[in-house]
Amino acid sequence: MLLLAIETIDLNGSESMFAISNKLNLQHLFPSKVSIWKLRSNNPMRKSQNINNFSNEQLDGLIKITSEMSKYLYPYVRAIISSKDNYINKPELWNDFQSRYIELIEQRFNTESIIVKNLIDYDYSQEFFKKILLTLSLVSSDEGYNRLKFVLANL
Amino acid sequence: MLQNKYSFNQSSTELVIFGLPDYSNNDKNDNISIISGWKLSIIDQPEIEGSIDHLKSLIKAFYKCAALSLLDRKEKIESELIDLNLDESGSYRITLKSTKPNVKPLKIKIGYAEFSDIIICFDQLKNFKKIKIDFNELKPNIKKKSIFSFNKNKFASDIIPPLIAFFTVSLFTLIGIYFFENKDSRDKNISKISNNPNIMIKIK
Repeated sequence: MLLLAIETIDLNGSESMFAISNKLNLQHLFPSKVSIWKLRSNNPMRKSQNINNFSNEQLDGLIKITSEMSKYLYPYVRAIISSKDNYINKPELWNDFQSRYIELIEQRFNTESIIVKNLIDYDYSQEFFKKILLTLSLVSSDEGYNRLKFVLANL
Repeated sequence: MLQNKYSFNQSSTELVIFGLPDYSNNDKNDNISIISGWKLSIIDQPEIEGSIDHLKSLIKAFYKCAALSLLDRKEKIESELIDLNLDESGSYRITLKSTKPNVKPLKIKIGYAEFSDIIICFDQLKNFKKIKIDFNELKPNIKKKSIFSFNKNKFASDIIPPLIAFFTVSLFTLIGIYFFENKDSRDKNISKISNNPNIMIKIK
């Protein structure tokens, strides 16, 4: 969901993720864009879920990519959160984010599943989307990688 | 001796630290080991300042609150110097308590955006080598959720609806069985009568 939120904000998200993985010297883990996609397609909510084996190192790499991407996108993430906090005066950014996020979920996820149905419900999903953005903003600092890892280990 | 001053900025927030090097610790001139003051400014909010103990409490509370928010857990954070909680409207309510007598606690309300700005400022401070604060003692102490821990909300949302559905289906099934059993026995009675050669049933 975090990577999908990144793609919602960065229209060229999958390209950027691959570029960031190269910048972080993770070519041995993700030699192509397909290798990142393969890892992401393990998500059971996806329409075409593929169960691929992946190593801890690859998972770690994906956490690093998420944290690094959110560093670059922090100004946008913050602006969207501000728009939600101040929805009466500035609803545009939040509305754009929400509708594009839902569009991507509908494209990629199995909309027959109840969880996904809840995610694409405009009213029901608002708080969840806000939490996703908060997560992105809190993992956007130098401590972000450790923080995200700590959270995933304690879920 | 000149005081050193460093500031950390992120969007709406600025954290300024003043202090002196500790030469007995082989500090360089531009290091800070003895923090003499600090100031946290947030746009549209009153300035916060205090002693090193206040700063440590603030960082500890914010780090714990960040971890709890990420884990989607609701726990009250209360200490002698600071209370920090997420309210129903999705804002963080901070109550800063002064150590001086007759000073009322300062109450501040901030949104997610300001909250993450403050956390990023603290992260910058943590990774800044020239200021020496022991962040190990400020790590959030979050207990792992036990498998057997009981979550009232989760119970209400996950268990009660299927139970209601199960009882509703059972109830309708029982009513259905009762209704059809009665109908069957009535049909049997009719066939017995019609099988009797002495009784004629006229069908128009």
